[in-house]
Amino acid sequence: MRIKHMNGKTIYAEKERGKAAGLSQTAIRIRRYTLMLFLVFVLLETILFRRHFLWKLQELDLFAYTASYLTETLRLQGGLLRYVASFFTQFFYLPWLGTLLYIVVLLALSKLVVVGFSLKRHLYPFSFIPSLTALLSLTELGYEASNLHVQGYAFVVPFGTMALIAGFIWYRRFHTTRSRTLFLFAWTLLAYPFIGVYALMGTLLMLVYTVSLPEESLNARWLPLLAGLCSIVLVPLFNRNVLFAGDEISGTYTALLPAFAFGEAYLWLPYIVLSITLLALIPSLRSTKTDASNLVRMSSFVLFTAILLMVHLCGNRDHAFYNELAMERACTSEDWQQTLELSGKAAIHRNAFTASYTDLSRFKLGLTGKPAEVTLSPFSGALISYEYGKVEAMRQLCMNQAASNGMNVHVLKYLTLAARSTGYSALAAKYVEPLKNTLFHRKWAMEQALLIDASR
Amino acid sequence: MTRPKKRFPQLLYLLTALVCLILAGVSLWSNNLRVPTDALPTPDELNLLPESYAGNVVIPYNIAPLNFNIGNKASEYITCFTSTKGKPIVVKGKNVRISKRLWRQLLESNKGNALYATVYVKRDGVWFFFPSVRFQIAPDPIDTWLVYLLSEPAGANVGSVKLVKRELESFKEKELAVLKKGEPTLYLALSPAVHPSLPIVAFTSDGSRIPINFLNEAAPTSFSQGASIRLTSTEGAFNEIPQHQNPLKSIREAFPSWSRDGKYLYASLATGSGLSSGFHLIRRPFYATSLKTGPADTLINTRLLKKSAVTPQLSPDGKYLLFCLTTDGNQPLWHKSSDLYVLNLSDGAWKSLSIANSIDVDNQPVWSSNGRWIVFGSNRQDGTYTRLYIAYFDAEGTVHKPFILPQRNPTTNDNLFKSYLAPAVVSKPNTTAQLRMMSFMIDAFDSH
Repeated sequence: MRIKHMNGKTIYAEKERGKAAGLSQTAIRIRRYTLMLFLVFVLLETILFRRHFLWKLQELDLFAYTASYLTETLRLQGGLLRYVASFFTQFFYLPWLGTLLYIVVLLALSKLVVVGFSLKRHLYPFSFIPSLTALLSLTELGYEASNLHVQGYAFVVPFGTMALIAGFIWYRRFHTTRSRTLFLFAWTLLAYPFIGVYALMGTLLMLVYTVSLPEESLNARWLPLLAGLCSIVLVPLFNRNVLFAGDEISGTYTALLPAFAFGEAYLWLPYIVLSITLLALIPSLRSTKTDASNLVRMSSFVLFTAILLMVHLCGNRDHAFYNELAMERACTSEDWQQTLELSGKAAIHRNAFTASYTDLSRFKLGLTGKPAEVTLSPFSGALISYEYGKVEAMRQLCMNQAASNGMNVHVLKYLTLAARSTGYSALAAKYVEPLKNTLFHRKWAMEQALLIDASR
Repeated sequence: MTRPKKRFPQLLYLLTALVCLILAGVSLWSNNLRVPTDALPTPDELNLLPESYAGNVVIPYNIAPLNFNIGNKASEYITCFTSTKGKPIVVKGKNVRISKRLWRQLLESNKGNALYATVYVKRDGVWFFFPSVRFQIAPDPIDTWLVYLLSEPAGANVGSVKLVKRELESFKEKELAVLKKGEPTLYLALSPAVHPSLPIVAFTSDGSRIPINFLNEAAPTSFSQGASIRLTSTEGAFNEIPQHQNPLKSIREAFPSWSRDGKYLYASLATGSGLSSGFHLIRRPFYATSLKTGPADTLINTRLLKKSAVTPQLSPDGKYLLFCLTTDGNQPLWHKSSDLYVLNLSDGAWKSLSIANSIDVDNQPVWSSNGRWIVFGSNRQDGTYTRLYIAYFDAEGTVHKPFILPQRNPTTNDNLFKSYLAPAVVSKPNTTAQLRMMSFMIDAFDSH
């Protein structure tokens, strides 16, 4: 976009800057094209293809502007990262705004990769690979999104990776064995409660870096190595027993990783690629080469494009699923006519749940009666149950969702409606209270609060 | 070398000035906490949160501060706690947070006396005061620790269950374990009871689990036919001690509770074949030599009431038996009809604990070790989430108005989407034994 609107003068200035930095014309072009391609790709994969999914992500999350929410979140392993990620996730209520923030975070991550690994110019396209894997961790999701057990999941991966790279940058400033050993231990001990497993990944990265240093003597290596390995094993255990007493050991070592089921092993792909990329970038720190031939530059660009393609192909491309989400969003805003229109558009890519929404909208518009059988979507069974007047079933669904994944906006909304419609005013007030302290659901909550007060 | 010597007096002056400033600030602040002497009475009703603190509550002298929030609108708030002896406590602000040290001093020096909390509010520049809230400080202490499960409320079938210990003299709380296995209601249904002296646990074994119907409040919920109390050794692996099998398959027996000397086992027993048939309260002798229970004596027959008497709990002195009376089946966790009752074992008279009961669920009563305090669960706050209440049980067998378990922040319960279950008041929480007990019973349940 920037290129299209650039006048000759601007391009000239950029070339001058590139020359001053010792970049060739090809290098400037590759940088420009990489950045453009990355931005366009992220926009396509998020706001264009998945805007309803992004909206759904914030419905499955909760960020309340209260002290109790902060303290409750900080009491969890990786609490700070959860809190920050959840804060940003709320902006997906307006998918374009959330996407904008998401892109900024991804760009910051790629910039940090350049700094953290002192990436050479010809490897510039590689700096986007961690951001692309973070993107894949989001786009690969389908119904699993409702069962991740990680608050603010979309932003956890990029922010977590940024935190661990920041720690790595800091670690590289230390050159003596003692200072490195102390830092490794201190990093794991202090960072783990705040960023969970990403602290352990950071420690691992630092260890690999230490081992890979060629000039280091064996003695200078084994002490940090021992300290790092001990920290990785002992710090989570210490936290489990002292700070986060009672958590399961398995959960201690996987804090902030999603809870994918056994059959969903393929969903770990972004995490594997991310780990390999970060480890593979370590040798680049040793390289003294400041520039390379155009062939090498082109090769790295081609590799970047290949990963781009992989991210696209591995992303969830279930169109029926996205149609379902679009229809759910229309149903949530009680726009039954739009739901029917979406149903018409989704004639090819349909599933049982889109059919269910179609039936519901027809019922609401008075075109048909109640269907004999209702198919409940894993995402919005509560919505359909509520609209058909099956309040107890809706309450049961929400309670079970809250039990397995914690409270979120979707669950709180329908529990409020269930409690209000069954005359449990005090309970409805309890459920609506956290929503009153949100940014985007406050209006809805205040309206409900008025109705609850009126019914008391 | 001479420079530090020169600096020393300067630092000293600076520190002295700082201390003086702090003292002046504290003095100024404490002067602001004077109780208004020219306050006028207000006709408004005081809105205390939590509500259960209002009106003649009896509290143990070693309980944590009863922090509360004031719901009435005003520009300034001052609360003054006074009693017969000791210095009054003055707290400023809408959210009344009492100093633990001052609270303890005041309560300990006023055992058996009344404690008054007077709330002053400032509106349009004029101070008003509400009628004082009266607390009676009981001379009997409550045990130091409360152990309970924190779980999803009845109605959610999945989720993790946390075992938590809470110090009653303060707000210290610690999660002892997180159990993701099994649902809380199943643990409660097992209702394990540890023998006071022998390494034996009595628990309910339900051969075939029936689905628990949370959706229909009036639906009968019960153990299936054949449910019985079994005994097992806690030493080593699950090792069931064979008991006499009742020839009548329709008989169901549940909720075991040992007498303090371990010579009797109290329980609930139903003889009817229908799932909603009532449970009676019974007592069986226990023979330590053969590790077997004897024939049952019926303590309360509920046939005419068409109700169930469940979860019996014998007082430490052996004089009283607390239990829940509920309609339809034996699960008092979510049936609104569930209320607390007490049976006087010396004369066989039993009565409702009306002052402690609510229109909602009241269940899971347990005794303190001195028998003067009852801790029980109730859904009275919102109809769904169980909260723990403490009530005084005096020497005459009269129960007094209960109050909710005090919290550092009184809104804690409002923000908590979990229920308190299976409370136990203990003087020393034996973490290891409790953890072992829980995992043991869950394994036992899985193996059945």
